[in-house]
Order: sequence, then structure tokens, then C-alpha cells
Amino acid sequence: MDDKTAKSSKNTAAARRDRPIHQFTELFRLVAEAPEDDKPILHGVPFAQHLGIRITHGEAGRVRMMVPYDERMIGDTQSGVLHGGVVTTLLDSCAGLAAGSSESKDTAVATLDLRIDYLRPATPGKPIHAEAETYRETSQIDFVRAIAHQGDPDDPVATAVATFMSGGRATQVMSWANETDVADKQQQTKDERS
Amino acid sequence: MSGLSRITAEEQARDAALAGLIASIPFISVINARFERMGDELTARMVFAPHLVGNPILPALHGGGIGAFLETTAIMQLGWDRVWRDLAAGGAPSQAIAQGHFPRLPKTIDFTIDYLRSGRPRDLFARAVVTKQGRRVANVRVEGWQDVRDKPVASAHGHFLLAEDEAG
Repeated sequence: MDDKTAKSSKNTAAARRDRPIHQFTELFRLVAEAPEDDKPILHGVPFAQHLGIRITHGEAGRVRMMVPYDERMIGDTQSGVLHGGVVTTLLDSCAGLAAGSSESKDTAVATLDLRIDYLRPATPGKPIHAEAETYRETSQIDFVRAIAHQGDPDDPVATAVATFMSGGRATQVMSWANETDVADKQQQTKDERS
Repeated sequence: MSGLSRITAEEQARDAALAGLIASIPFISVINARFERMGDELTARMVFAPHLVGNPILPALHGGGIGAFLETTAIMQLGWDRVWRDLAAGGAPSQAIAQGHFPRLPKTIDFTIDYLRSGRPRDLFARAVVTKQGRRVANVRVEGWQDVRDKPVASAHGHFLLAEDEAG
């Protein structure tokens, strides 16, 4: 009995947090609803998930993400600074979602190019935040600028500009579900029926 | 020491130095990268693993992972060039490396990646060419490919700040 109650409440939580999301607006609502210290991890984007990247804010064309400090991600054992590749992945993910979610689109995008200027080394031990904004949108191309900082956006670690090509078919819209989510959802449907 | 064993020892020292350099960049194991050495030239390989995927529906490698791999290849090539010179110089620089004390790695100033094709879920290779090596700054080009060398998946270039030369 207790077991069943625990399971159904878990499913409710799972349904709220981990259900498949095919629309960015739905994803952004989920991000807004999540508590400040437990924003959603990028399920459905395995490499971003592997790095522990979370979405902290989302609206059409504007996205914020963060990546925690992790010793596995160090780029130079002499300094302890996170590898530039972590910043690259964070900025690419953040800018890509800003492009894909811009006003008239709701599609997957492909990165055409990404330029990153590393303004100063990231301070070891602290998370890195990213903010991306689509500043020009055409029917096929999105132009995005982004920054990475460690708490003060006026003192960025890195700045980036990126262009993206949009127009993935509807079936290619990025899915935020992973296999566990789908399994959860199937279990939930089964529970509801029984 | 005979000529043959001296050369063997030299090669062993180079291989050990390369392994030490790789160990100083923990992130290399996150992206599953390997480095094959042919003399002073390195070829990098990002061995495919499911966690490197960015879009599971296509499926395609994550652009950030591709960029990270190319940047790592550039840094490794610059780091290795420096280690190679230090080993060749002999004396104190060479001894320092034998004891595991490596020169500081170069720092990325800027890095630009052109994504040319979608990265398929298989191994990605890369080679870096140092276009210009100055005293303080190096300009490096990197190309990454999968099946066909002439059809690169991504091409990148960047500027790197070289470590202040403590050894002179």
C-alpha cells in the first residue's frame, strides 16, 4: 500500500519533470516552474546531459544555461581551470536553443559557425553560466550572440557569436525525452489504466 | 649505450612524455579522445560513445563536443611541439619532462568553428596545423573528418597564448 502510494507520487513528479517535450514553449514553462536550485538537465541531448548542463531560463530567442564545476572537466591540471570545450559546449547548446526557439520557429537547428573569445580564465570551483540571445532572425538563418560568466554578466569569461541554419522537418524537432522518460510515461499510462 | 638502444630510449621518452601531456588534460577522457603519434605529428581520434551524441533523432554528434575535440587537438599539438623541442634540447628542459614537469599549456584566446557536415555517430579524426607560431601567440588550423579525409565534418582555427618561457 505504502509502496504503491510512493510509486504513484514518484510518477506524478516524474510526469511533471521528465515527460517528453516536443515544444520549446512547454520546455520553458517547465524551466520556469522548476525550483531555482533544481533546474532541468538537458535530457535528450546526451553530451549536454553528460556535462550536467541545466537550463535556468527560457523564452523565445533568449535562453540561459549553467554547467557545474566538475574535476573531470579540467583542461589543465596545473591550474584546475575547466577545459575550453566545456564552455564551447555550454555556449553552443545555449545559443542553439535560443536560435531554435526564436519567434517564428520551433525547430531543430544546425550550427553553421561558432566563434568564441576567451576573455579570462574561469575561476576553478565555480559553475559557469551562459546567456544567449537571437539578435537577428531570417527565414533560414539565425544570428545569435552569447556570453559565459560566473555570476556577474558584466565580467564575462567568454563571449560568442554563432549562426544557425533552421528548418529541420517537424519530426526532427529536438526531443527532450530520453528512453527513461518514455519508459516512465509508459509506466504511468499503465498505472492510470489499472 | 649502443646506437639502437639509444634510439629506443629516445622513442620511449617521447611516448612517455605524450602520455604525461595527455594526463595533464583530464577533459580528454570525457570526450574519449586518443592521440596517435607519427614522429612529431599527432592524429587525434574521438572514439564514438553514446554520450557524445547531441541529437539522438538524426543521430548526430554534439557540435559542442566536436568543437571541444578540435580545440583539444590544437592545444595538444602546440603542447606536443613544445615538449618535442624541450626533449630535443636535452639538459634541464628534457630532464624536467622526464620527471613529469611539463611546460604550461597554451591558453585559447579565440576559437572559431565552421560546421560543414553533420557528425555521424562514429569515430571522428582530427589533425592540427600550426599556421603561424610567434613568440607569444600561435595561429592554428584544425580539421576534423570521419570517413573521407576530403569531406571534413568541421574546420576550425584559433589563436593561442603561449606560456611565458620560464626556461628562456
